[in-house]
Amino acid sequence: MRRLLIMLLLLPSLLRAEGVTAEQFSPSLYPDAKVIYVDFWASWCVPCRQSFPWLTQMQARYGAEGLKIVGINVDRRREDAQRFLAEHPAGFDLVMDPAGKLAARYQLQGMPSAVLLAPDGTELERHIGFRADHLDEYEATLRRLLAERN
Amino acid sequence: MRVLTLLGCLLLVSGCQNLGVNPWEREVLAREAMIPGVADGLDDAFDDHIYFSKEGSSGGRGFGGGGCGCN
Repeated sequence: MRRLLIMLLLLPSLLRAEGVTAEQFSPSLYPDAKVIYVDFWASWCVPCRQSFPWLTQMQARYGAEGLKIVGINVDRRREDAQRFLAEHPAGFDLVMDPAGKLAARYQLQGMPSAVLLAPDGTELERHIGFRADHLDEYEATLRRLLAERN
Repeated sequence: MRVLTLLGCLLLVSGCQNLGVNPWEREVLAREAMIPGVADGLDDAFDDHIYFSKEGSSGGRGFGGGGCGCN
């Protein structure tokens, strides 16, 4: 019964995860967005656990202004990602990249990594890691970029 | 000969193009058991086993003092 409930709760995030594959992903998929926040995460990455509630909050707060958050999972096993999502639900789009193709394309230097893109693919900003004491800074960057591009 | 040297050079040059593990591939390295010393308690268990079988001693962990009788 409990498992069924978890599955039902998981369903929306799973369906969303099915939307775009790593091969299909491109910033041009979101032409209406002003800033695309690409967050690379993995189930084994500890700061990612803290980042999910914040990312969900940011998507809700700035979505109307043109912020689009896409979480790219680099777990090799899908079950690991699903277990993580059961504990830390995501209020934003997800892309599964088990082969690390997108991670390689964006030349990540650490995990987690956030790459802020314009819909034409231009890189606006990036930061490595996720620290609770830098939240204000991250949000200020988002606000600045959104203001610049609106 | 020249071709061989060139091939050898190419081999040497390409030798370092793939060093280590990429940040997004650190799944196994991120496990708790990969922390040196801390591990999962197995290190201590193995050490204890060695002391017991080689020296006939067991226990004594967590006791401060150097055997001078002054503690």
